[in-house]
Amino acid sequence: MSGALRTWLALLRHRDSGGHLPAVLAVVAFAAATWAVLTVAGGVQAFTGRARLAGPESDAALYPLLASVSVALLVVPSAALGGAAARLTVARRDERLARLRLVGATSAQTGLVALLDAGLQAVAGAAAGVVLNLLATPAVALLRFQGRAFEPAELRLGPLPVAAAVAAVLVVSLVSCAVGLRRVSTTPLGVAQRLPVKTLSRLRVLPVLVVGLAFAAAFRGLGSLAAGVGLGAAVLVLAVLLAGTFALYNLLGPLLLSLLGRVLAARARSAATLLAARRLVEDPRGAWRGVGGIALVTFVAGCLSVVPGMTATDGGDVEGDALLRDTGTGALVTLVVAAVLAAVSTGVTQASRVLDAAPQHRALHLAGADVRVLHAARSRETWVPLLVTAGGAALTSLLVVSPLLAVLRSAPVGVLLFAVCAAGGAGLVLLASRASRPLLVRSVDLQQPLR
Amino acid sequence: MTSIRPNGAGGVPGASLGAVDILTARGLVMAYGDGPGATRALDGVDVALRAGESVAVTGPSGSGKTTLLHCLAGVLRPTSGTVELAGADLTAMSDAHRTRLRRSAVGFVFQSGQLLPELPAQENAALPLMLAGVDRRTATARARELLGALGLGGLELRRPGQLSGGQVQRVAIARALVGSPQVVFADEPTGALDQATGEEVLGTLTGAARRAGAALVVVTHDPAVARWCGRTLAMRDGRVVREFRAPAAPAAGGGVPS
Repeated sequence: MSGALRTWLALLRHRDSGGHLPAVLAVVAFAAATWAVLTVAGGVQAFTGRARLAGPESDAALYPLLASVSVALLVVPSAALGGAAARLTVARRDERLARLRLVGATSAQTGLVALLDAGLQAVAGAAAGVVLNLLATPAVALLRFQGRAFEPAELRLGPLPVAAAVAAVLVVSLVSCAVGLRRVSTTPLGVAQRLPVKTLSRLRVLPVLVVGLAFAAAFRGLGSLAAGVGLGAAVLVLAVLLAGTFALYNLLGPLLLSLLGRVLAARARSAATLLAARRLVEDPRGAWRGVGGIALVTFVAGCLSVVPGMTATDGGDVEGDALLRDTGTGALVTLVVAAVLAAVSTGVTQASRVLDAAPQHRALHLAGADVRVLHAARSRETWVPLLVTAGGAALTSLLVVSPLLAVLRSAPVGVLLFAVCAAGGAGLVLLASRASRPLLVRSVDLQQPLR
Repeated sequence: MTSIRPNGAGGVPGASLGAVDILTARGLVMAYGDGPGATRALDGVDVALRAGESVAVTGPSGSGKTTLLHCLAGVLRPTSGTVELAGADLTAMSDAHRTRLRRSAVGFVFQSGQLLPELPAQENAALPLMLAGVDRRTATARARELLGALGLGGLELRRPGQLSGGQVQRVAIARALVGSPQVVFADEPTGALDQATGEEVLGTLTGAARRAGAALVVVTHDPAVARWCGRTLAMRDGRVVREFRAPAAPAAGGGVPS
């Protein structure tokens, strides 16, 4: 084991310049995931503090539970982003691990080297996320809930929750790395063989049906549940069910994108569309990481876009109106955080694909493929699933609230705000995809020596 | 008549370049760096290649053979000298123009890593035609026809990860030939294969290029590969030091529909 540690330290000191980018991408991804988790956890803490002061009979008691729903919405995309960053770490170093095997390292030693790398990047990213959270807290504190802005101290987490968040990021990283290692079998002959990508099972649909039925049953029985165990506990049950539903939604999403890829591939007429479609079929999970979170939150925020109208037309219950208004604000904040996570995820996935496919892109360019075609393929690979999932979610949410058209008309500000946030989020994701263009241009630069 | 003017022993100084040459290079110099530390990857190379001819370029590592291939294919612009492909001067063209010419007149086969892993064999092979604006149905039909002729009938929908090393190289050969190029450049095409598979792939490559009427330039460090080609250029220190013709090339397989 000490041999593996010494090797790891030596590799760390002598990493070539080309090896830095994946590490930087992984650290950025871990930082974004940590920042998102700490931000929403800070919100839960602040609302819990306010609820304690206001007493159990007040509407303030509901705020921590609503914030927990927001945590449930963001926890899956955050964990998925952390996991993707860890897998990026493994995928990028299979050649290095193979060379280590060649000089006599055991698979346990190479595994340890990979885990140490992933762990170091996770801790560095988590530390950056903590700093980012501290820096952003004054800005987050400007948000007005319950009629007033936050005190930064309300949002600032103590050392214990921060340590727990860092530990969670580290655990996600190590577990994902270990799973990734299992999929990269490194032989002593120096050939890193990637096992074929596991195809998605259609059985993924089954748990979705089961949880859907449970959710419907719980919803129908909400009244009696609330009467029996109290409204707080009933909302908690719903929040847990919601979290389960979101997790299952993330199981189903890649299946949808894989299907979309197949349909596109069958109908593609141009090389760019064909390439984009085949990449969707090849890695629907990667594409889903970029759009899944933002689509879900877009749906929720879209449904809540009627809130300003409802509070404007009804006017009797001041505290109830404030709760509704704040729920809408919370949904938009969650949408913005989800958009940041989606953008980082898209940026990491796209950059890593450019690095992985550099030899193939170069061969295509040699054979006369214009770089513009390669750019167009990557762009389609991002905006087509984004349009279908997030755009579809936005439309569906507006259909859901369409019975309240009069309310929407009376106060269109909610819908406008929602549209701006959703479009801004989608724009951020597209920008993140564009950010790796220079990387692609460099990778096909024919004046560089060919290997 | 095709001719060569090597720079060292066995050369034919001042030999004239033939009238039916598809590719000619004169006085190629490729220099890296300036001053006393400058190195010359190519040091005054002349080459001429006839339509349908196959030429092996051999030599040790660092002899300049891959640099020569990239200059001949219009990938690299030489420091001095000219390269004419089908009558067009590659060294005087813009990058965009050379890219377009490569698309229509040149095919490439590399050692490995050239096929897109997410595309089935027929789409990998059809890609150059689609990139050139040919409609998908026509491009795919032509690719399937070629794959069948190269012994890959029934495997058209398999992806590179589901094929053997030799089969992958045959898909790459189909891709190189799908646009009916005038010249096919192959850089160590058998470098990642065992000897038997390598021989089989070379037979397919030389036979298919000949039937398609394309000239073939194979860069290799393996002297055994050279016997599959009609002519061999031996390089050292950026110069062609020897040229010889193969006594009799082994029978080549791999037909290509005309």
